[in-house]
Amino acid sequence: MFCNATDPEQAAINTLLIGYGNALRSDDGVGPTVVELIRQSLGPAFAASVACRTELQLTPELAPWIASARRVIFVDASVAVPAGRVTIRRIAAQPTAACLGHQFSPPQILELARLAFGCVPQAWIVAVGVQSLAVGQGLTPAVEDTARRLAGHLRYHLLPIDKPSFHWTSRNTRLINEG
Amino acid sequence: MNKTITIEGVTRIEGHARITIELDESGKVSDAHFHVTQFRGFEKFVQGRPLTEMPGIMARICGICPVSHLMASAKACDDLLAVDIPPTANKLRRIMNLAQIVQSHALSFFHLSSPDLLFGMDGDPASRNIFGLIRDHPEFARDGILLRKFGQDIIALLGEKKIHPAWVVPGGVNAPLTAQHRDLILAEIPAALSRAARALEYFHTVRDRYPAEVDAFANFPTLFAGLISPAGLIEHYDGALRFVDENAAPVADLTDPHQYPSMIGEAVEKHSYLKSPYFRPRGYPEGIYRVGPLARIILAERCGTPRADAELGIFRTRLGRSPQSSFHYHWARLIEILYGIEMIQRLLEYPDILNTHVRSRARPNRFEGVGISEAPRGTLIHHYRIDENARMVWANLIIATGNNNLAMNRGVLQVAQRFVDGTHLEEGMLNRVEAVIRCFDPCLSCSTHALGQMPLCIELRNSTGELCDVLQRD
Repeated sequence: MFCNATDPEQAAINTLLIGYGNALRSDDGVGPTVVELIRQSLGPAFAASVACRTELQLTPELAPWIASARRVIFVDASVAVPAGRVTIRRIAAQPTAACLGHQFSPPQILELARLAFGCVPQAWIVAVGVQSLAVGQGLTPAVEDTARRLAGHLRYHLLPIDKPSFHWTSRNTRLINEG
Repeated sequence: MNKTITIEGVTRIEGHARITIELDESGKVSDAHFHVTQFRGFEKFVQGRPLTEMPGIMARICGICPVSHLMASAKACDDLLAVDIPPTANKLRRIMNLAQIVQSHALSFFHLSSPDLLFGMDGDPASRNIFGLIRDHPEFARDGILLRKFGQDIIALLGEKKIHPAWVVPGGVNAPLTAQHRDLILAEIPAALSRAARALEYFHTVRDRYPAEVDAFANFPTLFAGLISPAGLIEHYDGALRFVDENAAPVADLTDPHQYPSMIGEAVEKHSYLKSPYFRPRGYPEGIYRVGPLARIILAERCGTPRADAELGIFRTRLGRSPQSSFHYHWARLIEILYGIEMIQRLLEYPDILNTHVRSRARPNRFEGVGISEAPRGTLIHHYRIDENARMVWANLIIATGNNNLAMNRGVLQVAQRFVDGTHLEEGMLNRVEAVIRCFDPCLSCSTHALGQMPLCIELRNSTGELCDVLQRD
């Protein structure tokens, strides 16, 4: 539970998965759902190298975790992506704009990790298109189906655990989106 | 010609608010108000729900301090069940409550208020945020992040998640502590203590830079209120609710929570959704009182842990027993961080802390229950009534921030009169108006809070609506 990012020797997490969103707002919970599915599928052999976190939003105390990882994959809901579709893109730390909202974006939390702890991992954001953000628990059928396929693909590409980087091609995305 | 300055979107507080400053014909500040513009409605929409759902629902009031509402709500439900919770559950609830106080105080001090203290009230607004802190004071900022993480990780270890954990239930908690989790927390205590000590060292280097702010930041005599232990020690979970006067002399002790309406009245002002509680025996608004970390360390004889008591000694040597300036909330907050870490360690070292009997079970035995606890921002009261089917028929909540409403309003007026020149607006003078509010660390909503600089537009208009001056932040 605790990690110490101030000690580079302890930067032992190979992959950090962060699924974030509000599980009480239907498909907004797809990020936590995907990461929870992956967590359940991982055996003890992965416990030391893959960390799974589900969050409501990205908050400052995630920075030490991020700085401790070699790569981080954010999984989030998106209204900019067609419902049930997935986009994956590489992101980098972003020097913050003057205006900060009440939560951090993935590039901002990467920047916080870089500034505070001197490390910034490779990072990707996986965006899942949502159908409904209404109050309520559970995903809509289309998004739930996508979540399961996405979890399977991400799980597959986390192997082998000592792989130095996260290789993702447009073909992978196409496989998810085409079922 | 009368004018009004409006600060729309008060920054670096939890939630959304507005400040208006009224000027007289000569441009002098004649009045000021702190408006809370959010409406929540929890007291109404919990009606009809079973009491067993209350802690879970009430925690949703806030994403910053949900644990505080869990505590007060669970205590009100304990009262409805008429049970004494197991001693181990009492300790475990206290640990979670203190973890909440540590993480919340860390957010308030390091992320929200220290940019003003380290860069100056007139410093570049572009740097007055956590990223500016990291660039110029990296170790300090890192300590702030890690202290908040310390508290959040404890909450997550106990309750499985750091926001809205469901672990605190009527009658106790729903799972005991494991030896592994206890040891994980204990292993982090030394580093957390070091970080808190460094923060205090840093604070001592800057606290004397602001004599004008100390003098004008809600600096007036009021009552102070908070929980206190039977031995006169600082208390956050149980004990009597004590009111003391401006000299820290006890005025009243509330030992039966059900009697709180005899001491606390609630006024409503047209300009805000936030109620204005007051000490009823003195009437409204003369019954103004303050709660929170400054109040708690004023009314307690001592903290009861060695490091916090040593720092409290320095505080009192420097400022006396009962300093009236709300600027000193910052120092009090750091003392409470130290206390919280020490007390978490003490509680974890009790031999019964791993006991598995952590919940008392009963059916409802009363129709009315009251729970009082200390949130990071002050005293929090949940008061419930249920019907014969254990469904909620009525609720009243006195939120910690509300207790400070009268003092925040008077503080805004005092700062505005001291610093605001109605003929020409400058960012630094308006930042001070916001900074006095930040001293109280108000939490005005559930999970929204502003970090750093937000878009802000302050317009100065005359009584005919003519625009006289504008200050714009992008």
